[in-house]
Amino acid sequence: MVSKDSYINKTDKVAYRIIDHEAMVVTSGSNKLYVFNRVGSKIWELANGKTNIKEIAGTIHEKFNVAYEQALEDTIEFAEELSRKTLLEVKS
Amino acid sequence: MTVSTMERIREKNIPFYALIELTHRCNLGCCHCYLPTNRSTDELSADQFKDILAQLADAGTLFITFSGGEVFLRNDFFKIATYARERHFAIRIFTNGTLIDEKVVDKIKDLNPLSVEISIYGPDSRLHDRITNVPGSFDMSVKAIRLLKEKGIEVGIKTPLMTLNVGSYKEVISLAHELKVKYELNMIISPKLDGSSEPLSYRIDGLEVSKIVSKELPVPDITKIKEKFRNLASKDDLLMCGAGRSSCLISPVGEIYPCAILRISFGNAVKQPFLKGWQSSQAIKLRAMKFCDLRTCAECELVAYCNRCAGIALLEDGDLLGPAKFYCEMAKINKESLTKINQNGGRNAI
Repeated sequence: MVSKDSYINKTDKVAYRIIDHEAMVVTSGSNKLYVFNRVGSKIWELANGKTNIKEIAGTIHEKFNVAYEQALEDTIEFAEELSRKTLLEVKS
Repeated sequence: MTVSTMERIREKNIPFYALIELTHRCNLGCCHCYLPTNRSTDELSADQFKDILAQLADAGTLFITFSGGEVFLRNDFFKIATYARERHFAIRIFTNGTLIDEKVVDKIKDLNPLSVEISIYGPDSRLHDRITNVPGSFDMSVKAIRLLKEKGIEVGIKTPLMTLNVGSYKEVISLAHELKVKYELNMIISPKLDGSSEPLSYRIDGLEVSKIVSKELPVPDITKIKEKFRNLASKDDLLMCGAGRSSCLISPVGEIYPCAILRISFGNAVKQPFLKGWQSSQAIKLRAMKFCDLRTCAECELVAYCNRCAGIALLEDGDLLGPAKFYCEMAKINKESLTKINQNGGRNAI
């Protein structure tokens, strides 16, 4: 469960490259490559275990000109989805 | 990945896939090997490979395949591979598996590779060891597969089919099923990189290839073949496979090539920055070549049925822009068999 105080970090299984602000992510043992849009790529970039969800949402709000509440909701939803796919680990 | 993403990577000439030959040394003596018999044992140090990896990361490479020779003959393999993972590369390892024991498996597990792909040439030691010329190699390779699987590592079997083992390919597939691993059959045996045609004596003929392809792959879509024909004559690049555009090869001494077969050097990644070689005049010239530049093939009535490889054309027939005779033979067979399939309402006629 991801909350606004959670910290997210990339798991050891992932490999990724950010090209032209698009993150391309793949996990070990899988041939599936995920390509994120600019907002998703920014969240991915900030998933460093040191920046919490609130702070990430703040960056999304400022950088992409979306309401903070919307940015927070989108960030939580994105983090939960990537956590289910074992691309991200969540710490409360 | 969406088509548009891949197209953009290709259009921007981002070397998204890199095959790194860490060494040409090998502990097996496979009869069909494309590496020259008297090959150089010169290789870059781990630090030099790490420097190249850093440059590849900056250039946009995501996928790295570590290949050889036999990669585990390098004592510093894990130093290089660990650094690759620290730079967030997705890695694959091509190996014969003979040097993989429990300790090595644990280290491979720590790398979280996409897969480890092991060459298996037959369903048993009698055939496999005959091809590798090393008694006991089959048992060692299969043991490695089992150890890797036990640790939950993705494993694939790679099998080049040749005159010696083509009759056993179904048994190899059965072995892959038994071991619960993926398999890949490769039907193209290439000359040695020094031009020696010795391995070609093991190559199976086009008809045999066609029979296997028709049994193992879905029936091709005739509409797509016709569309390919329309596109080819006008605008397609000479190298349609991504070689030199979205993929590259780095040799044991740092030479940059478009792929394993097409050894036209773009420069050396130790003597100059990787990107300088990747954007060299030789690279630009190769990328600018179009299918319509081909002297004979562009006018050939079989063009839509041909999977011509520019690397094989140069290596085997001596002309990058000329016909690759093996593929000419394949194209004739493809046309005949696809025409029969068409006449049979989509059912395979071979």
